[in-house]
Amino acid sequence: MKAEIRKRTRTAHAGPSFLVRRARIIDVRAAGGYARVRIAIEGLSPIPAPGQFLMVRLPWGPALPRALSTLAAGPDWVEFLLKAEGALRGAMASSPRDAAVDLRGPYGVPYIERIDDRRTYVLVGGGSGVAPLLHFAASHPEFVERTAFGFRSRDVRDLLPEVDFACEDETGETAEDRLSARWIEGLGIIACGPESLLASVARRHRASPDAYVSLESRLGCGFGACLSCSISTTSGMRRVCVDGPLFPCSEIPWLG
Amino acid sequence: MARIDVRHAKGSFRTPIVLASGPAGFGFELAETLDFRSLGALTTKTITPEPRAGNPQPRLLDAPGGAINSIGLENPGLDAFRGNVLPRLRELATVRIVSLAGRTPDEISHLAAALETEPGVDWLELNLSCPNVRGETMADRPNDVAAYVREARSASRRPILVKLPSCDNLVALGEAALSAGADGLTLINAVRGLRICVDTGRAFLARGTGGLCGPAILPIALARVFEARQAFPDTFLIGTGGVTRARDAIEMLCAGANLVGVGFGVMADPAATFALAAEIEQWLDERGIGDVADLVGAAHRGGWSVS
Repeated sequence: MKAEIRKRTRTAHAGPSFLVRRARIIDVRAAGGYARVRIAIEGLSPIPAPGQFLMVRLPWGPALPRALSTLAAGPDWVEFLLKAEGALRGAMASSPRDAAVDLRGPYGVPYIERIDDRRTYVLVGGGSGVAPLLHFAASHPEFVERTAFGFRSRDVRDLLPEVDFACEDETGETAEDRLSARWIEGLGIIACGPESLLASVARRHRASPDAYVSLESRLGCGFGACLSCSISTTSGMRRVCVDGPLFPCSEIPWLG
Repeated sequence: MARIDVRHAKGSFRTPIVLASGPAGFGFELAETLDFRSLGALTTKTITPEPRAGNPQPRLLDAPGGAINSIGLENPGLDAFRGNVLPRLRELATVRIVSLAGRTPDEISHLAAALETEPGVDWLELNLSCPNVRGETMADRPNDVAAYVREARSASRRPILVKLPSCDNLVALGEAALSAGADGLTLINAVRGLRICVDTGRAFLARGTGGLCGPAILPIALARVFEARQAFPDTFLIGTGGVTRARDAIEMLCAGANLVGVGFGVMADPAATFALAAEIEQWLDERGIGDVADLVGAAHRGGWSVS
């Protein structure tokens, strides 16, 4: 069954889309320094798969679109979880209902196409890095054994009431602490979040072939041409936008 | 229907829109779904003799009206370009301008000579103005520019463009390039820029400064192209810098450009870049202007009367 999922996903995501689509923000909820933003968009095809991202631009915002990973997506809507700071994210977090937003994509390789499908995984996420992991867990529960998520503020519970995560301002516990407590031999790891979290995962699990980090380099074009997001790996220079965002920890020697 | 092709003694271009060196890579990703017949030419990533990894991350940053980039000429090097890139480049349905950079005039000579017999290389563009590499390819003195161009000229019979920065001795640099055998000039490269994080007091980009691109530099590029057209009435010019819309491209033509380069625009909205030529054609038709060539340098001739 897992092989069938992978095959189906590959077919659905063949070929990049360069069309900028005008969409509308239909719901914004903000709490704890984060915002959950839902956008209505007609004919979103292909539907973004977990790990993929869209290039997002507000008509009145920064000139260059910014890559945002999806929290969830359907044929005519997409949802993001973002930190409410910076020119684009800050503006989105305070957008009025029906505000216009431009989307292009999706781009990036779905997580499901990168991981070893003979394993099950613990998902490790911090901050907005939790978004693609929740998308993955909802789409592919058969691959998810445990989660280890963390945010600084308990107020984020208002945005993700259904999700179990650590809150630093409650108990001092972090996503890293949860990973230490919940990881057991034999489980793979998929991590997404701040560089400090990814570095910690890389330091402790680099030897494992099934420990992956989802990188968040600054993307320019999103489709592999401009090389703004190039990183060095053990197999040479790789582009986060088309070769990633997921990479095995073993291929990123500088991380950690 | 207005003519939008651009004629030159050493080759013609289907439309006045050129993908500038850098943001479009080698065009392969775009060619999967976009029609290259709507372009006049593609300019490749800059090729150097040896492979380069480019600058460390981060390499890109928002700036008002654009972005600052610091890629640092990451490229596969000459051998991999010939072996892996050129065969695919030959399949693109447009004119191919191959951008070259070297640490010395000899390196430029080596690159130009190596590509001399390769099919699929239509024009050469010498990148003498990259703001993102230290101590090289910043030919800011006329003698240096002349030395690079002379070497390329003696190694290649292909038409040669020279990409210059926005600087106050632009005319002197252009004169040096043309006297040494260049067939045209590409103006301008990204403008050196800096942003500092107010939380840390440190530069955002790993390398400190980078190249400002995007709509913010359109007026700068227009002024330099205007200046160059005034100094070189008959020289072939590619005007590059901040063009994202058809009306920007029309301004660039009026300032004196024969072709219009688009860089930042490809990153921001690739499909819109490929639609620019059709929009220019429509604009010409609506005004009864029969040939895009009639726009070139119009601002030097007092524009046209508006009824």
